[in-house]
Amino acid sequence: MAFEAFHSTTLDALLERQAELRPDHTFLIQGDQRWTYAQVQEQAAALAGGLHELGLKAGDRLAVILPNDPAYVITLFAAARGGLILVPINIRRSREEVRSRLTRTEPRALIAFSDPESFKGKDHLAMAIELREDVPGLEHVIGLQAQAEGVLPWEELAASSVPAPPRTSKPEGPAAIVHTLGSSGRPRGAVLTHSGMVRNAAGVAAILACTPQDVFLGAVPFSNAFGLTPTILACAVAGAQLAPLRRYRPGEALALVESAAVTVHHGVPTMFAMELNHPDFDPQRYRSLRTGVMAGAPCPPELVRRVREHMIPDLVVAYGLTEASPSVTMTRFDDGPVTATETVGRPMEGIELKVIDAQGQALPPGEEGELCVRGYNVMIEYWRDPEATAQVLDNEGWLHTGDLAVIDPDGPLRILGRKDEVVNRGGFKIHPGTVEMVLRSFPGVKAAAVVGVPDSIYGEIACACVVRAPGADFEAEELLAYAAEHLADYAVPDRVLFFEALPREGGGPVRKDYLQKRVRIRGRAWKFGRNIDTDAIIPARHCNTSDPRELAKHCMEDADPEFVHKMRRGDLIVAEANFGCGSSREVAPISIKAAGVSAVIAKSFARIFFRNSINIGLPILECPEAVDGIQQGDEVEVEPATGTIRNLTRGTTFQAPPYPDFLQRIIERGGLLSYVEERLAGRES
Amino acid sequence: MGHTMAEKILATKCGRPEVFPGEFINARVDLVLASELSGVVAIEEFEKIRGARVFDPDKVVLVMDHFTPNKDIKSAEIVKRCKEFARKHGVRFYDVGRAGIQHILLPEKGLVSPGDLIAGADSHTCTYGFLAAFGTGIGSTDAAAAMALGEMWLKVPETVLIEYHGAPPPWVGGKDIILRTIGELGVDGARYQAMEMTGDALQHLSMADRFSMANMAIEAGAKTGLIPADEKTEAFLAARGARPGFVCRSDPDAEFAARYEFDISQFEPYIAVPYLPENVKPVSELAGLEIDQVVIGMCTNGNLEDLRAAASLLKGRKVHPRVRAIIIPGSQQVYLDALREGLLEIFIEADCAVSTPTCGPCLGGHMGVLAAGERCVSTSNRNFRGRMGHPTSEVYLANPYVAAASAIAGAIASPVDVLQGAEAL
Repeated sequence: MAFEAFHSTTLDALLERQAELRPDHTFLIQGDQRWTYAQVQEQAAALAGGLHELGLKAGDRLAVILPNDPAYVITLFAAARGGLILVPINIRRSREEVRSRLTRTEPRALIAFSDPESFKGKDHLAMAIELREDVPGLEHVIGLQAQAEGVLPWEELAASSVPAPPRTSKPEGPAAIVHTLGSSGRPRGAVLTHSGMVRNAAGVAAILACTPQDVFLGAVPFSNAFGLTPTILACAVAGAQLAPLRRYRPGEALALVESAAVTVHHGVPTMFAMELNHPDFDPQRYRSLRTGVMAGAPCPPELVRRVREHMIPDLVVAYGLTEASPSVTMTRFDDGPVTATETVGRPMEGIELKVIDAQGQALPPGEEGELCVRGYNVMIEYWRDPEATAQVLDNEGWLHTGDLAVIDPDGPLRILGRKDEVVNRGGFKIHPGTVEMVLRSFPGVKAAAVVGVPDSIYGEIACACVVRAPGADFEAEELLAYAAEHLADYAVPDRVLFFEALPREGGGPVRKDYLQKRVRIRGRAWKFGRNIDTDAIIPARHCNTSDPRELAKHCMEDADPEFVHKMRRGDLIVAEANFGCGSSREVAPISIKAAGVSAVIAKSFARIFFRNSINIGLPILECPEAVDGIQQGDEVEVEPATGTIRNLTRGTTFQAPPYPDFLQRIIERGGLLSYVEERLAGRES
Repeated sequence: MGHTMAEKILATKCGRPEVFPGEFINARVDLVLASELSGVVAIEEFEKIRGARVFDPDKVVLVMDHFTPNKDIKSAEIVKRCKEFARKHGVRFYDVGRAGIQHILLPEKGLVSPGDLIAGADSHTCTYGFLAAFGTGIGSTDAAAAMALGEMWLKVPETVLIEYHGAPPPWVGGKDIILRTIGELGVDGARYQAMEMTGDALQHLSMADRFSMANMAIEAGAKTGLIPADEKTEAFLAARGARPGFVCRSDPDAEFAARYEFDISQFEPYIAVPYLPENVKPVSELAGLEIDQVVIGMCTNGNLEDLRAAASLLKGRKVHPRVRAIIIPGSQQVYLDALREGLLEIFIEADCAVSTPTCGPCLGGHMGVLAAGERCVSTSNRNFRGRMGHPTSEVYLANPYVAAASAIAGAIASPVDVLQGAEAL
């Protein structure tokens, strides 16, 4: 089904049509509660009436700071019904970030909630009330499931008997302003149209072959384009059901998948990695899962394969960006294994792609350049920011994405990185400039540079490289506490490394490429002391299994059943044992990599386990002295490029032999197979 | 400064005049080897490499030997996958009826020569050191990369020199020599080192003896085992039509990480008790320990000489009623030679089962898996917990004479006990 009926329509018309077609079919699920399409339509119309009564007129902005909740969905359609432009704001934004978004978009009303217990003590409604004073034109604060002085209860508005105003929204008119961080780190509000979003949702629903029998999981924040279009709207296009997850926790997501018999599960790669690694994960319990989209950050092929194998058989990978409503390309059910796991698929219906060189000239397939997108889905503009708009939208309607990509000769797209240096931490964009600015404002910081460091769970994490001013002696924790006051939680650097000086190009800007290579890995040591040889252990339980992959699966469990689950992201393995030797037990290092292990310090390369660590791109340092000198739980810092290992807990330093270039290259390429590809390509050329 | 055999071989493989221990190199491989068990994973990895072709189909060998003849649907599917891959890429493929246990089969087919670098997705690839080739176990991802590139990366190992002197007493063979060596060095004693085994004792040792010695180098943690080539090696190669290869020896001034010397004339038959190959004791200390099964053959002692040794004791005798005895020739050729020599008849008349070549019971796969508490004397190379079956079963590693004598006695016994008619218990 192509859902062509929804190719040129508005959000409110979409809901109205579904309410006519299947009035009694469930749309929203929360706990034991259900909302049918007719009920959602009724409440949305009532809320539109209530908002109209408050004085909100067509074209006014309605800001929303809400968790994923049925009320969010109702509000989205109510705004559309009332001709209002929705301004969704992520609940993790700091007060300053919320303020700047409100100041730019000047909404007349703001809907917020209050649940400090569930959200790290943060009272969003209290923040909204305080901000009302600072934001010109913000007349109303509306509270969901919360009471406070001067706050209108959402529930009351949604039960309003005032009729909704006459329909004014148009397919080509603005439906939402979704903020995104540009290369300057300054927020920009992408103005998305009704038909852009709905047709994009129809495209997703068609590729995923959705039907009214599907149940979508609302795991991705509804405040971003991924949560709005492919989740809420694709569900509505299919006439399916949606189970919003109020607060994302992997265990809660898995429980909801099971209890609501979810069939469609979208997420950023981090979510899937955390779910697979969760102690409760049991593939048997999630057999309802049929399909879903992994997107929002670089999708590691190994993770895609694992999810497809253990969780969601028809998982597809997509590429998109807020400015494109957001979906641009998707893999398809009938793609071969390489396309399905290692590319972001082919363009969706109605969307054109091209890759251009630095001069703006289109490049032939197979060549690397900046990806440009054109189609119905491209935003109208950045809200009241013609300058920023002109930087990304050209006269021919092409959206310049800033992403480096290559279109394979047979069609699929591969994303190679970013033109600028934004750090993409599990889908959340961190602009180094903003973070550096905050760090530099901390007393005692002489210089600071933030670089992205590859991370197997988040794809990328931010590492702050800091030079202390003479005489300053603050610790990383103090600096991070300060940063947390000024930045969104995800933008607070994951690591702080102190340097004597930052490498610079002449007297100019910091050489971040160089810094990135020199960056050190720091984590808690996980002492792997049990003298285990997988060949000794595995056959004891699994000797009769003739399938090596089955043997492999048990490898880590046999070594230590809790092992993978006990690991924390960034941990290092300090391997005392001569661990692992079976030639087919490759899953062991793959498991530890997925668990977030950042490096391995080993007594020797003797065993295949360690070869395999390098072969999957995990830095490994061979240093028996370090193994002896590090105890469980010690804070350890390693510099793979130089082989330096520092035990920060005990103040000792060890030196492992540095790698030759080609091994460094294998690690940098993320493993042996990619390195082989590179070598083969080199031979051919 | 001079260089060791291992260093000289590896230098030729990366086109350099010399390499030093501790260096990482990318080396050209002469053969890439996998069984169905490691092969199927390697194939899956290989197919992930964009644009990959097998670098040289003649130098890639798939031997179906671990769970063959296919013991269940899973193993059948895996062998089928390997077969399809082999057909598609034209690589060497050996299945039941034409195969054998890979480490016996490849030298027999003349595919291994001195100085070769052999990358095998099997721990016991170090066996090829008996032909002075550098064989080493790799992972399936490594195998996939080696199939595509014809290269593997490795760290040049240090070498430990082990010199054997004297002539072996009766009933003592290569198996006893390597068991005693592992007993002295420990299972980590030669970790990531090349074990160069040399000395005047070699002149008294058959190629089958040397085979057993190199085969178990990995059990001391070694990266490879190497035995310098001599006239016996040359004759072995010539009889199988193998290339003469690159013959080298360690320089007199080569630097060794350690040196050991053994006088093998003082050796006696040894047995490694559970659960590590380093737990080595003289057979005499264990005599009388009741057993349930004996397996003779497989790779470590699956050559014709080994079967002859077993047959010399079993001839005209019967396996003890308490014991199952299974004979597993290492290859079709060994099987045929044993048949022609009348060895199989001796075995069958002694109440032994004779199996087609397979790794089967050695890894607890099939064809002789042990029940809880069962005790087995085996001529294989590993006695880890649960290696041949139930975690509480026990494997005792021994030479074929000891294994045959124990089968007859129904308990661990030395050949002398059997010849003297001293039936244990």
